[in-house]
Amino acid sequence: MTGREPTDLMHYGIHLAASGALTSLYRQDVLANNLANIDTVGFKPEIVATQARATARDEDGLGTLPSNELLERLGGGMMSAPNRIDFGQAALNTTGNSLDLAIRGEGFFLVEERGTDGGSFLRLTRDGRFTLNDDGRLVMATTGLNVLDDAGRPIRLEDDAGIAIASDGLMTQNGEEIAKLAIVDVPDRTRLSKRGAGLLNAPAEAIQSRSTASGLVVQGAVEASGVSDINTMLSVTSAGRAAAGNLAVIGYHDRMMDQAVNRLGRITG
Amino acid sequence: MAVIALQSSSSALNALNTRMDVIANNLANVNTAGFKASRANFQDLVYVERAQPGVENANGDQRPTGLYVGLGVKVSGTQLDFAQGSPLTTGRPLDLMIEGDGFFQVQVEDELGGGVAFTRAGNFTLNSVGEMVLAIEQGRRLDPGITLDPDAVGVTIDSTGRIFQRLPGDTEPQEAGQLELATFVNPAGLVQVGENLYVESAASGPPATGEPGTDNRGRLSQGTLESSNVDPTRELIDLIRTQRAFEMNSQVIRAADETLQSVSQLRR
Repeated sequence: MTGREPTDLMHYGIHLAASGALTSLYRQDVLANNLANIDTVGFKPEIVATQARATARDEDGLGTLPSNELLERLGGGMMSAPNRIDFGQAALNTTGNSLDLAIRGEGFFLVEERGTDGGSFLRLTRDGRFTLNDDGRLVMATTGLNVLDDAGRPIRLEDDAGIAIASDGLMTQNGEEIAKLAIVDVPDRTRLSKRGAGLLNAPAEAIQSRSTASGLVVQGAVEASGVSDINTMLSVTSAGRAAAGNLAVIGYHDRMMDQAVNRLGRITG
Repeated sequence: MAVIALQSSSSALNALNTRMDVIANNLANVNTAGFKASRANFQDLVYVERAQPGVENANGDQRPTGLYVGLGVKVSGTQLDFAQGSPLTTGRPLDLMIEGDGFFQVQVEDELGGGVAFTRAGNFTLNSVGEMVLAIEQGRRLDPGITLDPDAVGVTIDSTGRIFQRLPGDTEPQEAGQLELATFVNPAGLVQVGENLYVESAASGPPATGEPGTDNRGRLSQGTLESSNVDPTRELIDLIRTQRAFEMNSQVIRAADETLQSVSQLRR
């Protein structure tokens, strides 16, 4: 037996409604971020998942001890599940800029982020807006991080004239091979987490076991945001309504308790 | 809480507003010779990782991890598109177009990029003493300077930048100077200072000067101007998208506001 008292019957419903309201508020936050990034190149939306919360017996840690039969049948409300990233292919927008690249299919560009202590971390991205820095290195236009070739080295160019990039990532300038862009994937994409600025973080061992991906490089185009405007707007609205509904139920419970305490319990007429 | 949703959406309104400004400037310069279009680059902001508050699992089951909320979007910067503009034939002998990556160099005040600025606009003219200058209010002198005889009857500039003038009475043209062009490793890093001028920055790298036609500097075409490389169709489509995204994000602000209103009405 744990030290906790079994959930009391009277307040149980208010907690169920609160779990629904909190989950809906959280959903609205995630959806707002998706919609805010509706025009961010290479952005992959998050899918908000919910899961049923354990029943009263589990929540109270009662194990096989007798529990409240009524609550046991009621379930335990809902809670958010870990959100997933939707890695589906988005539309490619033609820009005509020779250093704008997109991946059609599976895989990510590999970029290098330098820590303040001089260490280097590998990140993945689908944002292919590249440019050259003053050193002639190929870098992300937004963050300035080095874009790496298939051997994990930065790519250096003299200038951006006459660059051709084949669908396998092989870069040639005026007929000479320069480097082959790394297009990589990790074994388990659920372990990728977002870092902002279009970058994805992977645990060190996932980065170690990366492999060349099958995606094709398209030059002169960028991948649009993967956010679907209609679906996201609908979800925002429904999350808002769900939150309002659950909050209204909290209000009903409150009024019910008001009646129970102040009216039912009143001694004089 | 819906407060995060409010902030994410307002960050989007800010960013979209900036993009609207950039598009408006591009469209305003659709007829500016040598103008290069900019685009606003968006990137997502940081993500906060958090467990869902209020709902907890007491029996030792694994609590959900990897619950994170993004905080919106920002403009990471504007990027110049140096794609070649289409040629505009004018027939004026001092209108020049660069067919390649180079820039003309003109003299400016020392406070502005160390005395030299760079431009793609080749609408030159002569000032009162015969110096070749940009045909704009400030009359910026070409660098290195070229002086032509005010009496010259014919000026010819060949594709490698050699300038010839024929004086009255002469039959053979004489060489009057050599134009130089500059290139940059990263032209997108140049700083725009108005008047169609750019100045170098740490991001662009130093200019590499030389004669037209060498090392991708591009050849010159006399009697032609490079028109603006703004594509009105693309800009207008971007404008529609920006406007719609703006509307959608303002709707989310309203939705989050309504949710917060429901919350605030909980306590009677």
